[in-house]
Order: sequence, then structure tokens, then C-alpha cells
Amino acid sequence: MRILSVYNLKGGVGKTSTAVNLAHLAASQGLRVLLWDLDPQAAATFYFRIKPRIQGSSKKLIRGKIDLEDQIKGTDYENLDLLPADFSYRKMDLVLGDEKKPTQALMRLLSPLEGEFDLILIDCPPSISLLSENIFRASTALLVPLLPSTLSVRTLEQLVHFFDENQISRSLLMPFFSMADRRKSMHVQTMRELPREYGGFLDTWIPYASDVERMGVYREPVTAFAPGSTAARAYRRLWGEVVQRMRLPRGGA
Amino acid sequence: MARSATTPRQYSFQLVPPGSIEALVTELAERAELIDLIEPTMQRCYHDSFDWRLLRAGGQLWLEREEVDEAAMLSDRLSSSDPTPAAATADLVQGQGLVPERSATLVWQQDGPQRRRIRLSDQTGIPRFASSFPVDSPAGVLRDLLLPLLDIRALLPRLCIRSQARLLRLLDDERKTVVRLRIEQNQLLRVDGRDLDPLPLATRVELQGVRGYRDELARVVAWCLQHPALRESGQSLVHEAFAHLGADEGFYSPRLNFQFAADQSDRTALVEVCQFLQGVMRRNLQGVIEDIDSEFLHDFRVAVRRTRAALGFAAGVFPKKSRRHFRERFAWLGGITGPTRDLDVYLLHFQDYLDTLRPEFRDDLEPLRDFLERHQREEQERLARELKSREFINLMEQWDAFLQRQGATESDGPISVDAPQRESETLETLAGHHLQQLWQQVLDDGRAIDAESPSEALHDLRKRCKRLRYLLEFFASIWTDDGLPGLIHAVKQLLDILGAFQDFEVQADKLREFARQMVTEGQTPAETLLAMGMLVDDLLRRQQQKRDTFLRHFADFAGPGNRARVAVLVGTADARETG
Repeated sequence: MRILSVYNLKGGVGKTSTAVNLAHLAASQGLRVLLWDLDPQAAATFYFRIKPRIQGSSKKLIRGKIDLEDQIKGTDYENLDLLPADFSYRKMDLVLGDEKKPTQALMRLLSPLEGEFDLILIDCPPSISLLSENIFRASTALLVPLLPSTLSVRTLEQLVHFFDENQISRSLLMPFFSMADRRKSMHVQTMRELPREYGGFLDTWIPYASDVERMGVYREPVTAFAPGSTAARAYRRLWGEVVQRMRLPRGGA
Repeated sequence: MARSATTPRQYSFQLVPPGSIEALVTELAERAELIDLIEPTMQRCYHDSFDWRLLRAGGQLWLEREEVDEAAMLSDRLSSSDPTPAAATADLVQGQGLVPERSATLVWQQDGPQRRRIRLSDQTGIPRFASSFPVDSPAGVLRDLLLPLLDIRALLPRLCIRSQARLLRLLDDERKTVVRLRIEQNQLLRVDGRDLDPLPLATRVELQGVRGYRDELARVVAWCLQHPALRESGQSLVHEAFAHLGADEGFYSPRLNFQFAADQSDRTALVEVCQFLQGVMRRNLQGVIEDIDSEFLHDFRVAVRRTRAALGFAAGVFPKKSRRHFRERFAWLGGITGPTRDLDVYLLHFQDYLDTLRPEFRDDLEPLRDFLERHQREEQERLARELKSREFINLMEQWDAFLQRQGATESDGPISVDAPQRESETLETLAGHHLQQLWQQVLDDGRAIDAESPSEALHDLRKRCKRLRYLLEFFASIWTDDGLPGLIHAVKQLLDILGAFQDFEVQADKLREFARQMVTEGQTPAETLLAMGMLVDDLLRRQQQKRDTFLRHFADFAGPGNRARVAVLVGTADARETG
């Protein structure tokens, strides 16, 4: 079972779109996929038309008073299930802080799902916190969507610094450019220079596309309602790179 | 595929007259918001081994393709540029890529409604053997699932069904699908590659829940259960298709499951055994001739051996002359199938040979593999000719006619040809007599074997034990004692030891014979002969170990436990006779 988290400290960079579209692509290729929406904004949950609540609270979930498996919902897509977001996730850090070995709590929660899912995708909240550290430590890989802008450089620096400080291997990181507009010279320059400075960048970049925004209207992955669109093709290329990097079998664990 | 405790259940119903699909859909639409989709007509080709190993394990594997009206498609594609009628242009466009390739989806389902769907991008279909599924392809994930179930059996297209379905998705207030309802009209098109006139099957209504939406499913299930046009069906589509097939095409199993009564006629019981075994031979015949996989020949030979054993038990029951004739004929049949089977076994176990040798010597065995494969092909061709020969066909026809006559009752008229030697006795009497005799022979032969006994003594004991085992298995239903399974198990264990002993010796002798042949046939490297010598040495050493094992084991086998079990089985017959 692999765990792929989509993370950035900065919000609005395309994390949820990435998580949702890659989850859909993975499932359509035959992988058994669980998407965990850990962001209290519940955007991924909204896209899949699922109500953003769990029966209980994040406290009960972390403490094992409610079963994680019982909270999972099937989406409209074969092989793809969702663990919905819940507003109580905004207090997750506080709850985790009370746990023994707090940085491993997520791993403990997810390990019973081994054998049931081939891939768990986590849509992460935009923060750097105890929850984030849990996510980093539980993940097989971390996809980092970045806007090709100055601020993105800063957030990547912060992330790399955090990893180094906490002895988490940088090899987990898979940064890539998201919402890129090749008409903007700053975007072009950043996309050229940043990978030289920080290794591990994926070659694929996701263009800024109105189809992605329309996901909120259709409430479907763009790879489902507009499979021939530029955005969908880009996400498919991205998924192909992820499969290679993570050595995921095509269509199986 | 791991099952989750929260995996939603699937419910199946049949639509019964006077219910109609339209009426059902209308009623549902009045109760819930739904999306109604007519799915493309699909052809589903269920693949399984000849003995339905996947289905027995609760699994189903099928290849699904959209059924396309190719003539209509051609007509559409060509109408703008060429007014020639579609039928006339069909030949022209072959190979010209004008008819689009239809991709197929491979679907695996086991123990529940969840399915793995894998799109196949090329037209090569399903590999013949689970071990051939390419590991790094989308279908490769199935390799690990199928290999333990299928082992060496070939995966064959068994049933092909045309399916026209309507998918109803019941929605909640977020317009999220919470229950799926599929209404399927199915037709059986092909069985084992043979086309049928499309045979309609019952209209199926399949309810599938969505994980996390249990209450919604429960409400729909409750509605369906009380609906007068719906009847709950426990059968899968494949099982339902079987109900329409004749016995020859239905569920094949070589397993013995006779239900005899102790007081029934011994002759009719033996006839039934022999007819069943002849059925096994017939079912496997084409697979043997075509060499689809090695299990066809294995099952065929087991049926021949069991037939020979049954003929042995028929002494005094079947007419002497006929019995002698058929014993000789089936000995011939066993003989002609032997060489091919031997070579199959050597090839099947070739990896074990490789594992016996140190890694640096393993490549030296490749000339032996080539030799075995070449000779297996030659023997297989010879065997196929024999099984298509008049001699074999005559045997089967004569045997069939003979069994029919022996199975005829007195009310069918006097049996003037092949009159039985005596009046029927009860099966209990016959079986008890042979059990007592065989058991004593096994004890005597086994006790006489020591560390210095020639190998033939163990081989002869093995033959007797086999007959003992067949006797117990044929007539198990007449003995109700709890000790019977334990006795059969004990006999099998002893047979495993004796079998291994004989196999090691035969293999060692055969390898020496192969070595001589290989030298005669051509240039065989010295390294190959040396490697084969190492194998022979290992086999003889293991044979000696098996002899030691036998000597230790036989004392337990012949001990009070099994002797008491046999006494009870035999004593039952005696008690009745004296009672």
C-alpha cells in the first residue's frame, strides 16, 4: 500500500485538483484507491458530492473510539473511495499533541487498510504543523504543486528546511508546477530556474485551465467530464510520471 | 483482493412475468431521483479452467467488449466517400484499418460485488496460463491472484454471453449515487467455443450498494423483496447458464461422489462407476488430443486406472470373457498414454531439478530441457493419432455398449449376450469381500518389506494400496462409520510415501536412459551429462530416505487403529449376513 500526499504550505495552488484527478486516474487504471480529504475546507469531498462529515470527531478518530473504515464512502467511480473531510479536522493538531508518539498517529490509523487499498492519496491542509509532520512521516511520496512564482520559492525553501531539521528524507519530495501560464515571463523563468536549484522536480506541469475551475460546477474530476481537455491530458502525463517515480504497477499493487 | 467488512453487498433478483422493465423503472422513478442509462450491448466471455477452478473458488474472470454492428459502422464511415454498399466493401476494408479496434476490459470478481476492471489496450486477449500474464502490464496484477487458483491449468473461454443492460443510479440530495440497480437481459451465445442459437436467460435485476450508504441500500432491498415481479435469486449468471446446458457441457469434476445404498445390486453400482469414469475420459479427450494443458492427460489416465480397478472388483460380476477383453484393452490404453505423461511430469518438475543443482551448474541442464520438450512433442503427436484411431474409437463404443447391457434390468428382457456370471449380490457384500481381501494383502506385503527388500516389493505394495484406495472411494457411501475418512487419509499418506519412492527410482532410471539417448542423438555436452549424473545421485539418495520413512510409517499404518477401522467396516457386512 502506498501513500501519496499532495501538500503545500500555501493554499490555492491546485492541491485538491491534483489529488482528485490523480485519484480518479489511478482508480480507472484498476488500482484500489482511497482519497483522504484532510483539509477542513472539504473541497475534495465536495467534488465527489459527499457530505463533509464523519460520525464522531477527529478526536474520536485519532483515539480509536470510532473506526476509520466505517467512515469511508464509495464515490461514483469504480475502485475509488473517499474518507470525507470534517470540520473538526481544524483541531487535529491539538488532538495529535495529546497522543503518545504523536508524529506516528496517522501511520497507525492507516495501517489496518493495508491489503484493502493499493494507493491512499491524501489531500492535505495548507499548514505546517504536527498534522503535516504526521503526513510526511506516513507518506511514501509527497507531491508538491507550486505556482511558478516568487512566493513558491519561499514555500519550497521552508518545506525543504523543515525536512532537513526533522531528518525526513528529501527524496520523498516530488515538486511540480501547477496553474502555470507560459505567457507570463515570470512563470517561464521560475520553471526554468527552480528545478536547477532543487532537484526532484517532475517534468510535467499543469497549465492554468478554466476546465479545472469547472470541476466545482460539474462536481467531477476534469479527467472524467473533459477527458480530452488540455488539463486532463496534463494530469494524465503527471500521473504517468508519478507511476514511474513511485514504481507503481500500472493497474495494481 | 482483500474483502472489507464494510464492502457493500450485492443482491440479485429475477424479473418474473408479468413484470416488465419499463413498469419497474417507472415505479422506481416515482420513489427516488434517478439517472437512467442504457449501457452499450456487451459481450462477456467468461474464462476459466476446464474444471472451473476459478468458479469453485468463488471467482469469475471475463473479457468484456462492446458489441458493435460492424456493417453499420462501415456504412457510416464510407458513405461520404464511397457509395458502395457496406456489405460489398467489407472485404475491401479488411486490413485497411477502417474498422476501429475494439478495446476489451478484463474483469475479475471474487467473493462479493467488488470488481477489478483492467482495460486491455491490445487485441491479444487473455494469456493461456496465469504464469504468462506479463508482470509489468495492467493485467499483471491478476497474475498473483490467479496463479494459486489455476496452477498449471489453461485458462479457456468457456461461456460467452451477450448482455444488454440498463443502469439506474439512485441519487441523494447531493445528486450522489447511493444505490446502483442494473437490469440485464442476457443471452447465451457460445459454450466452449461452440456457437449456439442465442439462448435467452432470465432478466436479472442486480442491486449494488455504495460503501457508506447502507440505509439507502436497505430501503431499496426491502422494496424489491416485497415487489410481486421480483424474485430473489441466489445464482450467479454463470450458474444460471449452466442450468440450460446438458450434462456433458455442464460443471465438470473428476471427483468421485457416488451415492450407493449398501443393499443395492453390485452390478448396477459397478456399471455406474464405470460409466462415470468413461464420462471423465470423454470429457478430457479433446483436451488430451490438443494438448491444451497436462491435467487433461492426468485426469484421463486416472480414469483409466480407476476403470481397471473397477474391472478387478467386477470378478464374478461381469462376464468373464468380456471382463478379460476389457482389462486387456484398458491396459493398452494406459500403456499408450504413459510416455507422454512421463515427459509432461519431467517438464513440470524441471524447476525442481534446477533447484537440486548448485547455481553454477543449472545452465548445463538446458540441453536436457530441449531434449524433453522435443520428445514430448513427438509423443504427444503419436498419442493424438492413437486416440483418433479406429482402435480407440472401437474400445469406447464397445465399452459403452457393454455397460448399457450390464446395466439393463431383468424387466428390460433377458440378456442373451454377455450374461452375467451370477445373480447380483449386494454391493455391501462385494465391497466387504474385496476390502477384507485387499486389506490383508496390504498388511502381508507391507510387513514382509525390510531394508533389503527389492524395489519391486514396494512397487507391488503400492499397486495394492491404490486398489484399496479406489475401493474405499468408490463405495464410501455404503459405510457410515466415522472412521472411514481417517482410513482413506491413512491409505493416501502411505501411497504418497510409496509413490515418492517409486517416482525417484523411475526418474533416476529414466535420466540414465535419456542420457544414453541424448548421446546417441547428437552432441550433448559433457557438462550436461555430469549435471544429470548429479540429479541421479540425488534421486537415489532421496529414494533411500523414502524407504526409511516407509519402514517407520508402515508400523503405524498397520497398527490397531486402522485395523479396528477396517474391522468395523467389514464387520458391518458380516453382522447383516448373520443377522
